[in-house]
Amino acid sequence: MPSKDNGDTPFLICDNIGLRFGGVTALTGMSFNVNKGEIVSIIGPNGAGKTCIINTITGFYKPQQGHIRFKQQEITGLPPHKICARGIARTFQNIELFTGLTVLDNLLAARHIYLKTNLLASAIYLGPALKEEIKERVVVEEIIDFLEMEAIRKQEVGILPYGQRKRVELGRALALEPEMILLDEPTAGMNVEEKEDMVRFVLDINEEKGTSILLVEHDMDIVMDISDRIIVFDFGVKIAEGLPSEIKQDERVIKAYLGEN
Amino acid sequence: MLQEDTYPKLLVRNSKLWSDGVALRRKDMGIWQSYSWKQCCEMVRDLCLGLVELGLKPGDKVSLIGDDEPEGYLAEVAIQAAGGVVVAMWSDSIPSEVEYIIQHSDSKFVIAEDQEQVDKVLEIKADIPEVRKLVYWDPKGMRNYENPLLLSYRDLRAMGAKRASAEPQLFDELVSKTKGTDIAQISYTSGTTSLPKGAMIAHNAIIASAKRMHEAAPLSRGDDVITTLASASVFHSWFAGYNYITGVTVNFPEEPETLVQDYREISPRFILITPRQWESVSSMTQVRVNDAGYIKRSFYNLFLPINYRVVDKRSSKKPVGPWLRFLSALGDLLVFAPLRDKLGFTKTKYPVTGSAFLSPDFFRYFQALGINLSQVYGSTEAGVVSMHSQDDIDNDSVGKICNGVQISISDTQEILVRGASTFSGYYKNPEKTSEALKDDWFYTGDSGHINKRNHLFYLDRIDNLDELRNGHRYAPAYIEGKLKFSRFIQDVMVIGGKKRDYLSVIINIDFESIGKWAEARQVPYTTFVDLSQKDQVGDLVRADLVKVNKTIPEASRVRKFVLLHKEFDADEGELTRTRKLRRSFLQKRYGDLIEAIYADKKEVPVVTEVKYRDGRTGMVETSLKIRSVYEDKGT
Repeated sequence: MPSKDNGDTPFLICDNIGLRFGGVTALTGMSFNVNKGEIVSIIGPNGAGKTCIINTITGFYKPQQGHIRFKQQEITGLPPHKICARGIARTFQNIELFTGLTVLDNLLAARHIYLKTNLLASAIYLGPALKEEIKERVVVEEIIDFLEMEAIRKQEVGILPYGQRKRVELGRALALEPEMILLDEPTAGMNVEEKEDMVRFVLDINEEKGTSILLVEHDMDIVMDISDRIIVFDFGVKIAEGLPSEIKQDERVIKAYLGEN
Repeated sequence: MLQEDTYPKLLVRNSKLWSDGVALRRKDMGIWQSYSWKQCCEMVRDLCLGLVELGLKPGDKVSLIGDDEPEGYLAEVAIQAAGGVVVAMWSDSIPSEVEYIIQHSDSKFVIAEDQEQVDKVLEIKADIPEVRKLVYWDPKGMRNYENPLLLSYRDLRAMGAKRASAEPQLFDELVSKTKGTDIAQISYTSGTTSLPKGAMIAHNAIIASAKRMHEAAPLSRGDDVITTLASASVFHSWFAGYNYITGVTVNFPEEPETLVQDYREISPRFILITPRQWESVSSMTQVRVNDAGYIKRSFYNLFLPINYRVVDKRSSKKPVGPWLRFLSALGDLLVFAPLRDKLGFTKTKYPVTGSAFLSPDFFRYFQALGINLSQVYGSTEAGVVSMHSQDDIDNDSVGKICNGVQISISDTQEILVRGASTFSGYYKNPEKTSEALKDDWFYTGDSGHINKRNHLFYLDRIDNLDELRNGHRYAPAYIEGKLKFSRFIQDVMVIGGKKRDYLSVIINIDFESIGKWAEARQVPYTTFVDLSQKDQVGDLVRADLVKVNKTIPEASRVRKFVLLHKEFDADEGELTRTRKLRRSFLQKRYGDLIEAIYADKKEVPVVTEVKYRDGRTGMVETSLKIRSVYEDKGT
């Protein structure tokens, strides 16, 4: 088992993040850490800023204030592809895949950051390019095996049902071989069985690869079940942080979820 | 005559004879990967010596549970090479069944596929103290298991490899000590009435059965077959004979879900699947044709009746005229050859069914598609008894009696079998053994007869044959088989008996097929329960019942039917693991329903458990409609 808190500097540090869109404040003074190998969940009502923080960490939004450090390096303000290359992958709330490509091609496309051959060599498709293609296919096949997608390997993503597309998205994030994955509502809209599968995959990824996971999720049963720590957002502010057992008892959390009375 | 009288000996022979030739193939990483005879033999050697290192002695039992994969397939021979006895279980067995078999067979080791199977065994760990090690071959999800009982397949092989380098002769010595008369496996029969019984089968018996299959359906070395038979099925052991005796290549599909694609890629020369699977191939084909475009569908509907006429003429040995032959060839070119390609039957020479009753309507249907379905009849205890060869198929018989089999039909019409393929007795059950085996004759419990051409005809289990109050005798399985040809009927049980005047049926609707039908006609429904009680669905099934009724004797006609609110389920004890009906249990369980049918009630209340989408379960009260086949439509 990878140790979840090795006492060193945290893996990901969000320090006093502030994000505004014109006059609208999305995040204020947001600070939290994720340790290596940890599963941290972010919960909160709609519009609390959960997806905003994921977009900020992955470089889709640039915060007006604060710093984000990953593996002790500043990543604040870097463009998304550079952050991705540092080892942070994500999935999207509203699935973003190439619908006209097969599952296999979608995963292979995600491997482009590891490709080294140039355009000419790839066009001739001999020697190094072919070897590279085989090597990448092996990596992708391992992911297909891991996520049990053998039966849909050669199907176009566009015709797959919703639950399977979510699985392909997770596969694509894994293809980047990230050290940290940000999952934006991975089980939304799924039935019980699909949810159970997804949760099992998330736990397996965390256990087998030691990948840190930052999870945004609405299903409280899942959150309480798999998280090492939970962070609660409300109106762009962190209102609580702690172990699942602590969060369940926290009055501010109950208030934010159930209203004043 | 073979010199080698056990599969382990044959494996060693093949490894010397064909060393780099392909023995097995499995789809892994999206590619068909080959294993040579030499590789297989080395793997078996390592496994075998690993088990010996752990303390396996000749005669010890080893339980095996998992899907049919090369690891399990090779483990079987490895166990036998060490003189051990294989006890294979169904991979969908529930923990209590696993416990019974491990305990009863006195298994010292268990070899399991993956986390799912390991969990089952660990759950009952306290009740199986005799088990010394639990070996698993798929390490996925097993990272954090720290039970001392567990050992990975890889580690087992490593232990064996070490022993092999220390004692290079040991494996060959062990293999040469195996004898044809030794018990090779204990197969637990599904037990439609009682607890499972462990049939002990010797190497000789397995090889005798395998050879009979060769005679009726000869294959040659390098031909491809796909294995889809659960390792607990005795057909699996006979099937392995093609591999070990002849050198046919066995292909293992990637996952159960990819089977249809894998079939198409390999197109096996020989296909042996159960009637249940043929039924689903048939309904899958019909559903797909219904989903197909207008042109394809009308070609299918145009040429199918033509092929039916050809099939009927052939089976009644009448000549087929040139015009009909031309149309049939045209239909084959336009519709049926592409259809067979989609199903993976392009290279198939021997499509075979066995182990349970399949209605002649299915044979006719598949033959019309150009798939010459034939039949093998056999059982765990009897071995292979009869089989059709391709030039001698009779849709009503279960095949021609194989050479070397003695058959006699008793006064009660029971089929008795004697020969090299019969089993050696039930493990730890002398009482049942002496009931089933008298003077080497095995009493099959099946009723049937033989015709002049030496074809065997199977009617039903003797216990199932029944009569109505007026003395009319009927075979439930025959009527059920006919009804199952309807693509709307998934499963069905005939009820009647001496206290009743007519037959009724309890039907499981085919949810997928009827669901599609309902969608196409904009019949709204929510759940299985809801769909099954719709009047439109009742009318739909009634139409098929009327059709079938026309083909059976007046007195055997089905008068009433109920569309059950659920499917029969093996986990609830309603079916055996081979998916046969457990009649007496079902009759007790649905006793109230049956009483209501014959009390001329229109409805009967049932309480049923439902699973909500969020995972909670609740009880719902609903009522089942009892429908008549002929009068008062729409009740």
